Amino acid sequence: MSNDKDKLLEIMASLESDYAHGKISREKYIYFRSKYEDRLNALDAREATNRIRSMQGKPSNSPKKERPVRNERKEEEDLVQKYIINPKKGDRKVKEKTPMDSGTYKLLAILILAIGFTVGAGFGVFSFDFASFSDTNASAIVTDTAFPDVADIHVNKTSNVTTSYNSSNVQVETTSDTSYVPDSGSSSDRGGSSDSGGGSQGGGGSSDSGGGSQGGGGTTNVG
Amino acid sequence: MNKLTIIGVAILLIVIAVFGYIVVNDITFNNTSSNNANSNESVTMLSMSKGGVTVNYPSNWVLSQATSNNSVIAISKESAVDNLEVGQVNIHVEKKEFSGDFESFVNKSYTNIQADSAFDLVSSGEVSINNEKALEYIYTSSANTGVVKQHKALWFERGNQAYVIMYSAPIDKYEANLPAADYIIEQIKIN
Repeated sequence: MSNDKDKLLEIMASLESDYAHGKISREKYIYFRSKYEDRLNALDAREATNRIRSMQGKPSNSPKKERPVRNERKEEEDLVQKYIINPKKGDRKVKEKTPMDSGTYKLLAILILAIGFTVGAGFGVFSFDFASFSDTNASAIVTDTAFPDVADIHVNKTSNVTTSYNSSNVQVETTSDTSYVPDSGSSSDRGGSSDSGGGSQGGGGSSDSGGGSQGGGGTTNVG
Repeated sequence: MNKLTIIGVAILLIVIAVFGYIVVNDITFNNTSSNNANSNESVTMLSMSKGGVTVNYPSNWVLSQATSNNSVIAISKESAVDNLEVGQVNIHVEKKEFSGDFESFVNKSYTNIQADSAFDLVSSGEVSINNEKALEYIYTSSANTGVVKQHKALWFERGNQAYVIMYSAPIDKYEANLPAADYIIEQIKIN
């Protein structure tokens, strides 16, 4: 305390000498002098207070004065550390949360829809009866047609009977032909009827027999 | 992500999955229900599209390969397919390009049929199927094997294309299969 007062007194003395030598202006002299006088008065008042407190048996306030200074520094340091050196640490969390959340929810919603659709469609496809759409399972043949080309069928009936007799062998040759001549070359169906048997038509067969027989077509040899 | 969000996501997934399953299987459900109304047998309705023609047919009918060059699609009753895999009870859709008048074209096709003893024209006339005009020809034909078949041909005009839906069956089976054939014919869609 006394050191401070001595220092202040020295400073005031040097201020007086500087002003006397014209080193500083009058305004500055007045400003600094009043400032130092205030500090001096404050020191005197603090000294007087301490004396009274010591007379009353209470501890002086002098050490307590340093605490608020230290606290202020610490607070300042904390504030600098908090808002200047790492100012975005806290802010980032706040700022990042909002846009990230909305984007994440959008992505999540799209993902849910996609997965849901895929799963549902997958189940549906899995249990779908694809046989009903199969094109390759034709298991029968249809020979019926509405275009039988009957207009092109010409019916020609020709009967040739040739009989020859020999002295030793009697040979009777009878030929009867009935032919259908389809121009289109089709012989299976006529007007939609099916032809699954593939049988012969009106003759064409031949038989040999011992007796004289007459057949509708073919050749009969009588021995 | 908290528990509530996870539970919500899981529930949403299940709901969407079930919805998707129901949507995809809707056709199957419909098919089953329409079947039961039609037949006492446990048959399902099948569908087949080919050459712009869609045929819905019961599962006791089968797809067939037709020998006709004009064939679009053909089906046969499965129980009436013989040992040589030839269908005896058939519904056959054919198409042929024509020029000029449609009715003249169709009539011309049957003019020569009447002249052939193998064919007997039973009836002909104009009918309406699904509010669409069609020419109907019913006739019989006798095959070389001796089998007499009856045919019901329905002709539709599509631009310069004549489509004919023909139901054929041996004459003794014609009437018995006619209701099913009529039902199938009504379901046929020509685009």
